Amino acid sequence: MTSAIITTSKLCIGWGQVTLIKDLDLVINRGECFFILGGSGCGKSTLLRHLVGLEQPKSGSIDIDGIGAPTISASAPPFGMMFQSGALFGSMTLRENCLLPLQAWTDVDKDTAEHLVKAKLDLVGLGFAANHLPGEMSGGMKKRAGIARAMMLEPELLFLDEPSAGLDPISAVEFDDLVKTLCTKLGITAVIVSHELPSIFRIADRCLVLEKESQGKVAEGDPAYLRDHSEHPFVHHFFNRSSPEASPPMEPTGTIPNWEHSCFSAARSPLAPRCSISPSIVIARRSIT
Amino acid sequence: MTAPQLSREEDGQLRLSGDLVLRHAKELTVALTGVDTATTINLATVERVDGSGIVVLLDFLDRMATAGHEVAITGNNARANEFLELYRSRRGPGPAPRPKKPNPVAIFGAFACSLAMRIPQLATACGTYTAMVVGAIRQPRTVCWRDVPLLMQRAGAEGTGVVVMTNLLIGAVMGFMGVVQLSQFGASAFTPTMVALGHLRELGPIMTAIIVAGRSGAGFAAELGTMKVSEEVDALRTMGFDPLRWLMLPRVLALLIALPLLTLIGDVVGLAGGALAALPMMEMSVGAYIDATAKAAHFQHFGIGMFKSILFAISIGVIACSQGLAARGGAAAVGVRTTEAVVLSIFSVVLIDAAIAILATAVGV
Repeated sequence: MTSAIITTSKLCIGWGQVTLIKDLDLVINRGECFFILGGSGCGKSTLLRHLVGLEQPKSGSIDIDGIGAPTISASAPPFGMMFQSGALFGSMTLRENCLLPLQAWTDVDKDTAEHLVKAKLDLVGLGFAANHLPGEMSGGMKKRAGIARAMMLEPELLFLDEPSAGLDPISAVEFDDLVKTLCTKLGITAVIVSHELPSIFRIADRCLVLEKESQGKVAEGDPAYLRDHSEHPFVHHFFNRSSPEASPPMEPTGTIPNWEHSCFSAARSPLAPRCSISPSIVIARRSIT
Repeated sequence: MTAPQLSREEDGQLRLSGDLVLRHAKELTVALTGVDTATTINLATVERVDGSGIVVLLDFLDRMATAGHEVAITGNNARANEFLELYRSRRGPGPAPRPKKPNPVAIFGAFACSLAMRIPQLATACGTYTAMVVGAIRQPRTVCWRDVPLLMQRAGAEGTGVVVMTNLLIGAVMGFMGVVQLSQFGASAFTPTMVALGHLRELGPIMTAIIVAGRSGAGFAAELGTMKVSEEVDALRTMGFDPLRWLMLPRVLALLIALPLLTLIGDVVGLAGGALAALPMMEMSVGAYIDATAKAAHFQHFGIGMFKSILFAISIGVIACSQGLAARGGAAAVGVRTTEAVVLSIFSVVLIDAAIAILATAVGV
């Protein structure tokens, strides 16, 4: 399916005399994993806040799933939103946080609602923590709980603000896998604001690159294609400054003398049987060209 | 969207049709509740599915499995199978239960122990605050002095209106009640004395302090509490600043200057309020009322009131700031600490007032 789920036309956003983005024409297709990229202060998160109806544009239009601009109305919102910090209510457990939208917008009975909450928390790997308070969880867990709460009303559209920022590499990969699973298996459209190049190259179908100086879009398309073919200096610099492919390789420069055993974690690491680390520690430095 | 419907076919297998979606989760639950036995469910005519519909179906399958009936899914509905597989594969263990709330005896015991612990904590706090003052004198640059005028404005100037109104009305109530009650004994001429003594020595300082505790004390606690939970206080520590010196001292200092000034204003306004209420009801000239007030308003009563306001300022500032800095967690913790700050500040004001009253009586002042 490639029908549009979000369309913006001549969208101008900002406040007062300040214009962050002007004349943005954008189409996001159903089922896509779409990234909004750009440097700090270019209006990525502000654009996201406009798309979910938290801010009103200066001019132009936004259409979500054919029902126009999102507003706070008497019906359930057609999307879910995960904020950067998770934005969970600190005085409620995860279970209670997730129950909120169900209690407000559905007529399911208590037992069914509990099952639905448990299933959503299981989906993000937090079923065991249903009775935890947000203050008892790590940043990554809060983000995952934020996704579970955002998905309680089965939206076709998910907005994610910096989902993998601040996560360790393993958690970030797990988070990316989760988002990709939601897109491919459940047909959800994910609109993600992020700076994380590994995440972008791993899961993005398409991306939009914003630039502060240009006050808007400077590129749109497949991130790998943009990295390799874009001639726009900002886009080229953005994708190539720290992508793994662009980094110069590490080259061995020596070994620690008298090293006889494998790595320190070998005894307890579950990866030990298939670990490729040789029984010597390689001292590496980045080659300077 | 069509509601899900469950039918039993001739060969005994169940057939689900319609939409298995959140909107119809209730109908689906009701339809599946009545089923006791089944061997297969055919999903071929199911039109739409979402996670919630599939979770209700999985819940039914679990119930049947527990009752000894393994139910197979047929119909080759690719999307339903995709959802089933995903939600099955992600199932995890049940949540860990929250720790049980302690019983009332345990709560009382913990409270009693905490009271006992308060004594060394109080001693430690006194030492810490003394060290804060000494440290600030030795290293003046470690105190944010430039905040003091702004804080004085917020705690003092911006609070003048409410202090004036409160003291005016309290003074008026005292004047009115004085005339009504004392006239029963033919002693209404002592009303100015009662108003002056009562307001300068007790009501003026205490009412002003309660307003400042509720207004500025709550503000300080909420501000510092928010700074604490957003790690701004930790940032200060990592830059080598003592948060007590940088944050608490300017606030205590601002209150130390602003509260006696507000008390002074409150005293004057309170006496005026008493006169405004009492004079129309008394056969006494304005000049005679002022003379009687001046005779009653000895410096010692005014001085005791001002001395109390200084102690109130220190206790409100220290309690509000220490409660704010003790916030831990999120927004709820800030609310709890702010409430605690106001309650403790007002309680400390009353406690100090009572102690000074007893002490003053004992020494005959």
